[in-house]
Amino acid sequence: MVEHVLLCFEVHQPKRLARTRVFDKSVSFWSEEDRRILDRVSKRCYTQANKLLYETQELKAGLSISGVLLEQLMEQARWDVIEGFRKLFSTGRFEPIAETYYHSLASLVDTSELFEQVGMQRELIKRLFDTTPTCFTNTELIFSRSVAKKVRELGFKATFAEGCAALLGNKSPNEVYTVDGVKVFTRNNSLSDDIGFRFSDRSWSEYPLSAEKWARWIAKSQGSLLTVYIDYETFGEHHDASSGIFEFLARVGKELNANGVELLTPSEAACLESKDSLLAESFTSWADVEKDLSAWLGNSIQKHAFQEIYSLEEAVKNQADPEILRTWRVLTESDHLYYCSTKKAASGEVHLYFNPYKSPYIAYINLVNAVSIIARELGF
Amino acid sequence: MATKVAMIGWEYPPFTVGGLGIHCAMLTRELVKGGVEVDFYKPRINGSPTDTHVNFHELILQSSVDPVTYDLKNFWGAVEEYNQKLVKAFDPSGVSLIHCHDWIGALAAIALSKIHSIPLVVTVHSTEFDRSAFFNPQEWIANIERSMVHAAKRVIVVSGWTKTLVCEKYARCDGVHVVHNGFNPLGVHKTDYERKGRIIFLGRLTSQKGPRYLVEAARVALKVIEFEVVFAGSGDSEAEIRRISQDLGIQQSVKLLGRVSDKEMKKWIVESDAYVLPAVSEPFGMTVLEAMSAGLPTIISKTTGVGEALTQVLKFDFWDTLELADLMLAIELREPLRKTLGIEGKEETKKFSWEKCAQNTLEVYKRALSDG
Repeated sequence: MVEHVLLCFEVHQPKRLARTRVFDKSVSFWSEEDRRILDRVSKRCYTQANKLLYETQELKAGLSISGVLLEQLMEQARWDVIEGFRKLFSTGRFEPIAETYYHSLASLVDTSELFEQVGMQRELIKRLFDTTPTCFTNTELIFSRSVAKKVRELGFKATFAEGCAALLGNKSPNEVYTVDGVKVFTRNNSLSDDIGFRFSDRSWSEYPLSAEKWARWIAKSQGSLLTVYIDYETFGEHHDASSGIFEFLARVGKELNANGVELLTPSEAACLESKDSLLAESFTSWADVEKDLSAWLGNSIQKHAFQEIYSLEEAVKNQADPEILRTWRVLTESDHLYYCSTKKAASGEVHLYFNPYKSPYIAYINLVNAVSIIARELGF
Repeated sequence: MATKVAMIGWEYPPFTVGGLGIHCAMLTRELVKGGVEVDFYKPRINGSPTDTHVNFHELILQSSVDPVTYDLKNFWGAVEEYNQKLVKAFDPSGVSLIHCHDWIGALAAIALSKIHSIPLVVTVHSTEFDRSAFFNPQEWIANIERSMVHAAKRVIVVSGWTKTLVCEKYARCDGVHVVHNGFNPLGVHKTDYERKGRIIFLGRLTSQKGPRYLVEAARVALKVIEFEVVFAGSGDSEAEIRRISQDLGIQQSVKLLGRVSDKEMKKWIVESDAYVLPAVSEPFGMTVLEAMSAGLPTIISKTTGVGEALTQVLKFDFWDTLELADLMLAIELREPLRKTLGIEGKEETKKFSWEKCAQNTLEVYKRALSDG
């Protein structure tokens, strides 16, 4: 039987680029769309889920909240949502998890950018919630030995990775592992996706999924720690309230307890002993069916845009113009590259669901045009 | 389906002007394979088809066609004579369905359907509103099209865009079926995506196809990078395009080739960076699929019918010349974009085929026959 469950939520909304033409004078963001989506998600998800978590005594969880989301909540005066997070963290049952401020791919380049973005998010969390995360989530659970090394340098006790075959081989995801001296919680993707993806799928043989059934599946699993990591927007946004997703969340803690499974916070989980070490030689992530970097760097337009963005890093930082630096950093959001995917089938549908332009090519053109405009501002 | 269809057309390969003749040849080939017998009515203009899979009924026109060469002398006269002769020459024996393509033979088709009580199916390849780019549509042709779509049991249109027009302009909104065309791949393929500095326009130079918007967009884009715009095709907008290019001071970058042979067209496709079709209203746009199948990145207006089934293209509002300018610049400036669009676009054209087109047409036949 599984002894402990670690429940974590990713909370992020990007700043989206406006249709940006190469001859535009400056980079502009699609603030109406950002506002529309933030309002909708705040109403359907954040306010409701925050309240429910706060009131449900049996629940514990970690929340990785991107800086760029917190920034938008402040800009749009959604203090109700920020207050909701603050109340959650004040209970001690919920903890913030560190991540990059811009939900970026900075871990993939060997510059100081990752350290700066993690520092920025940590500072904002400290200012808003007066607490400091002890564990770190890299963007979309991107992980490898090289990431583990950086996590160690950043001083975190533990981090997360996708519990996929490329990382684990035949090993169980339901254990604590170490990579290069850092504890790693590996996400149980099947039990996570039951909630994240399949919950409202009427063609699924297990539909409808009750908290009782899911808790029984958890209890039947073997291991010391079962990690479930999903988007916070699962509640009310990806699955409408009418699907029963909030009722599920309200009951699940009780059901786990009834089965003798204990929920932990991330820092409690970080005190568990590691069972084994992992090599983690190649990059893994929780994205798409491939569980690698191909969601962001799968085709040549994505690779090109990625190179273009980071090729400006040094010049942007030497210029020391805070406005240019801020704009450039928004371009490092992984979302921009995610929209440029040309994958087909099921993965392609998910990319398109999030893509505000409904075309990978327009997403790419906006992104590289924005890079060109910044380059021009820098005098290139 | 053991059915005999009397098809009423106008042009047929090898003597064709637009996509209609090719559609008739490819569609009938597939229908015959599926067990349908086809009587094909057409006037003799220029020369006779060599195909043998259908029973041709070629009508000899007298006053409007040269008696020796069969060259067309008078289009309007020929249309009138064709309709009159069709009604007399029609052989109804065993025919279960009349299928008329576009308006030219429509008056005869409507009459024949009534006289012989044979259900009528019509295909709208384009409307008068498309051809006139919504500017001064000829009322009498629009009237024939309106009568035609109302006389038909079922109407086939080549895109959802045309379906909207048939509903809005001709008030026929039910029993209208979208059947996308197939296309014939050109058999050439782009092998590299190095910048050629050339954007190409393929097709007739008429206001319907919106060539002037391409010139206006080029003026904006040329301020950023040098490239040439090549128009391969002829039509009544040629002089206008030349004049606008001069007025905008970009005549050095605009090339008008006139009508080009298939062989030349293939050469231009391989030697270009993108194909642009800024059509004001294009019912389908077979050249889009031809260009894409050769691996050429393609930029089309949102009012190009085939675009509704395509995602691996760049789309814009035909009047938005700033948008078109930026899309052309993206093509000219970014090799990874040319390559990805070219390769993905080519892949996407594989879902179009004449076989599928014929299957969907047969479905419409079945419905027309069971309508009673």
